[in-house]
Amino acid sequence: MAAPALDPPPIITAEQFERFREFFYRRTGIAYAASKRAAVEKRIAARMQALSIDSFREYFARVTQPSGPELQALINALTVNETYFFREDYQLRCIAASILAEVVADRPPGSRVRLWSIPCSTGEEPYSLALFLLENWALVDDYEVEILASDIDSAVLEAAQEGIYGARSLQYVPQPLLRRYFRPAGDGRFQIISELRSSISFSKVNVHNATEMKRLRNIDVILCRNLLIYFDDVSRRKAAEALYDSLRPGGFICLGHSESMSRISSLFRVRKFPDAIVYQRPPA
Amino acid sequence: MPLVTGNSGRTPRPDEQRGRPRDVAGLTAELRGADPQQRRWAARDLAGEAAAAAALCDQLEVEPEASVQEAILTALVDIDDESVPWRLADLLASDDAELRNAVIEALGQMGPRAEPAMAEKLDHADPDLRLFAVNALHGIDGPETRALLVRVLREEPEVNVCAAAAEVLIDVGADEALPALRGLPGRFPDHEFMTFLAETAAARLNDVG
Repeated sequence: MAAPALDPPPIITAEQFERFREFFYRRTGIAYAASKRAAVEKRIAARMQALSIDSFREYFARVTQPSGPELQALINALTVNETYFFREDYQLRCIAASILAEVVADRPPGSRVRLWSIPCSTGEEPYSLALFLLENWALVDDYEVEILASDIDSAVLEAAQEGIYGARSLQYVPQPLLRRYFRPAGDGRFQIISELRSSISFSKVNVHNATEMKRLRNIDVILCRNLLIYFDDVSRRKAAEALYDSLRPGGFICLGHSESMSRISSLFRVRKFPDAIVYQRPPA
Repeated sequence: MPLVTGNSGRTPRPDEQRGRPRDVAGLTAELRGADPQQRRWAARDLAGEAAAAAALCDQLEVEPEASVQEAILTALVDIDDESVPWRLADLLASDDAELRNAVIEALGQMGPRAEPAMAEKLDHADPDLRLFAVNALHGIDGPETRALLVRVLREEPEVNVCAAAAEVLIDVGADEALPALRGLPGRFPDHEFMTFLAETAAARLNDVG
C-alpha cells in the first residue's frame, strides 16, 4: 500500500512570516493578515524558485538588501493588477462634467490642469481618463492637460508604457474610440497610438515613500481607486496625509466605489456631484 | 492633442523646496513657526522621530489648524514612545471636539501601547473622560481591553459609559462579557436601552443560555 501523500513542509516558519510581514509593512504600508499567509507564501516560493534559493533565511536577506532589486520583484509578485478601460466610468463623467469646471473656474485659458492616476496598474485608468477628457470635456482644447500615472509595481508600468491590450481590457471601449486611438497589435490585441502613449508621464511611486511623494505636488485631481483597501488603519492614515499634500488646495480625490475617505481622515471635505461622491482638499 | 507632459523650464515653486535635508532640531523649530503649511510639513517629516515626541505633543496642545493637528497626530501614531499616549490622554479633556475625536482615533490606532493610559482614564472623576477612554479602547484592542471593559459594565455608575462599553464588547464579539452584559438591565432598571443592549448581546454573541 502506498504511503499517503504528505503536504510539503512550509517554507516559512510562523516567526519568519511575522518578520517578513513587519518588514513588508514598514516598506510598503501593505499589511497582510494571518489569513493571507498561504497566498503570500506561494508567491514568495515562486520568487525563491526563480532565484534558485532554497532557504527562506537566504531569500529574506536578499529582499532586505538595501537598494537590492528583489524587494521590487516581490512587490510586483504580490500586488494585484486587474483592471480594464472605463472601469467606474461614472467618476470620469464626474471629472469631465463637474470637477474640472471648478478646477479651472479661476484659471485663464492656457493654464495647466494636472491629473494623477495612482495606482495606474497596466495603464487602463490613465488612458481611459485621457480618452474620456479628449472626447467629453468641452474645454479640453483651452487648457494644458497633464496626466501623470504611477504605481508601486515596476513591471506593470512597463506594460502601461507599451500600451497593448487584449479583449478583456478593451471590452467597454466603443468601436469609434478603438478606431481613433488604437492600432491593431496582432493576436486580437490593440495598442494605444504613440501620440497618446507619449502624452502620459508614468513613474514608480510608493505612497509611503516620502521622497517619491515629494515629486508629486500641485495636483488638481487624483484618481486613487482600490489602493487604500490594501492598507491597515495606520497606513491608510499616512497615505491620506501624503495624498493631501500632493493636492493643490481645492484639489479633488476620487476613491473606489467601496472606499470612504471620511472613515480614514478628517482632512478632506465630502463633495456630492450628480455623477459621484468625491473628496476635496479645502481651498486655501 | 491638448495633452502635455513634464514641467520643463519651470522654476521650482516655493512649496517644492521642502525636499532639502532637514534635521530634527530644525524641524522642531519649524513646527512652532507662523506658517501653517510649514508646520504641517515639519510634522510630516518628524513622523517616527522619537526625539521629537515631546515637541509634537507640545505643539498639538496649542495648534489651531486642523490639518496641522492631523499631521502631528499621524506623526505621533508612528512614534513608539510610551510617553505619547499619556500626553494624548490629557487632550481628551480639550474643549475642541474635533481635536478630541482626532485624539481618540489616534489613540485607537496606537494599539496596545495606549492601553495603560486609557485604563487610568477609566477611573477619572469626569464621566466624559471615561466615555472617551472607552471609545479609544475600541481601536486599541490590547491584552487587557476586554477585561477593562467588562469591569466598566460591572462597576461604572454612568449609564452612557456602560452603554458605550457594551457596544464595544458586542462589536468585538467578546463572549466572556455575556454575564456582565446580562446584568445591565438590573443595574440600570430605568433605562430600557440596557435591556435592548443585553438582548442584542445575547443574539450577537451566540448566547444559548
